[in-house]
Amino acid sequence: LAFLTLIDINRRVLLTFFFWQLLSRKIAKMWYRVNVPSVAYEIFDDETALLNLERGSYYSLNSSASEIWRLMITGVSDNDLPIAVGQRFGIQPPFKEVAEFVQGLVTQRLIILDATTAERGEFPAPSLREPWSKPTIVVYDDMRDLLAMDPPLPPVPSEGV
Amino acid sequence: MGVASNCNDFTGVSKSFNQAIANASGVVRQGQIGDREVRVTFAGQLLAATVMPSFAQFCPGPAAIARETVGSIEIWDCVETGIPRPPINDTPGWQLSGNGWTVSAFDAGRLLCEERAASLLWLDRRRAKIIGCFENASTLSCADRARPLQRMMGEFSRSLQVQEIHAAMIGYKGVALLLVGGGGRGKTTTALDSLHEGLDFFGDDSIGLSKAGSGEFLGHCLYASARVLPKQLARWPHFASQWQFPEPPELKALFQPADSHPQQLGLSARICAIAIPFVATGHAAATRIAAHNAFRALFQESRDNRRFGVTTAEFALLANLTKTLPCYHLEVDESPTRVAAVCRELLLRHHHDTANQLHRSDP
Repeated sequence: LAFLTLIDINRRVLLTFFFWQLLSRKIAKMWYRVNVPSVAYEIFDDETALLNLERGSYYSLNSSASEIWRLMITGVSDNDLPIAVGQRFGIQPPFKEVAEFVQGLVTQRLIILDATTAERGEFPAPSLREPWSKPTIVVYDDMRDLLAMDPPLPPVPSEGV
Repeated sequence: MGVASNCNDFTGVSKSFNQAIANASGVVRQGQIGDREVRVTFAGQLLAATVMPSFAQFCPGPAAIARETVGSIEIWDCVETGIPRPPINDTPGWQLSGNGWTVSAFDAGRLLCEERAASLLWLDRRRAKIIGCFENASTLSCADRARPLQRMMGEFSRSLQVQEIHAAMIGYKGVALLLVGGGGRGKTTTALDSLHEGLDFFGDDSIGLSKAGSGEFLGHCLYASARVLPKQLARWPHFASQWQFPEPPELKALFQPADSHPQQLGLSARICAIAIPFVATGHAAATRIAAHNAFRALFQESRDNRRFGVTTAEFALLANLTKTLPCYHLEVDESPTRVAAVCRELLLRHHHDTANQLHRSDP
């Protein structure tokens, strides 16, 4: 009896998990949004430079990180991101590496998760020239003194004010 | 140019300048930063003689001065004019201090004031107008002679729609090579090598950047001066009699090429390539590199605390610059002749590149 009860519990857990997955994909889907106007970014061929004026920091993303960044900012949801990354690279990258990178972007307030942002930007053609490598974000805090000054000054008031 | 600010301290410094110019003879010049006319007025002959060579891009003469101006720079010498530095009584809305300097903002950010022991400089950002004084022109440091406007130049340039960047620039036959990178990379060495060997010189440390309607990037001379370590001076025998050595001693000697090389001083030119110099031995050469290397050198390595931050638009402009133009690593060896020859070759190679083909013009 105890054995049958255990199986039943396991079934219930599995069923609950299964339905939760279904629900989360339909209801709790989130999209990524660049934290503008505090954050500016520029995508080069195999590197992305980011600027966070809020924190006074400059960031550099390597090739794989840049590719994930492209996917994130062009409308791939959080649920779909691992699959999209896999399709881009032709392999399934370690989920942990992708998750840690995305978490780093969120922690640095470079990107914001937003349930209402479902608009797709222009989806760029794959720029892959490099094979998959662990996505990294290099933080340059040594510009903090310089960048923290911006925006130190309000815009110059227009004439007639 | 808009209504005057109602800040009492700024009104006071304006009155002080008027008194100073009445007390001592002034020197007036006019020229362009970007495509904006700027007039420079110095009250005090010694101050003008000391500082004006660094503004060599500005021309004397009534013809130039007759043109309508957009910006102005008015500075007096306290000792020669007998007009002391006016005090600051208003409460700033924002303030930042560093080693020997304080910058304050007044009137909702419209006015900036930089206070240093040697100078007081006010900037009206809306009117692109600098007014200020130097305590004593006879004791000005080489750093002040080389870049008299210090932290105000960046904001002043912004008021004229020009972005000041930490770079050197040289030219040949009307096009320019931008030299970027952190301190000690060899920007000054390359720029002076090129000047020594007959190329044009646009500046050693500060260059104005703007983008023309045609999509071309333009570099502008902001200061016609260069400062180098004494151990390097023997590299340029033609400049031997031109160095100014500071008293009391400073780290670097000053060179203002306005008197010795006036025909090689450039005002503005289309930038056709970017180079990141680095010191090498026995070999001068240029190697093509990816845009992000030049961007990082320009944006991250070349940061300069004499400027105030960067806007997202400026960030985008620098990225656009490096994505559009061909970028190189430039090996700088012991021979000014070889270094200048490589620079000349780069300038000739990209001389006819248009804005749309620049990034494809070289393998």
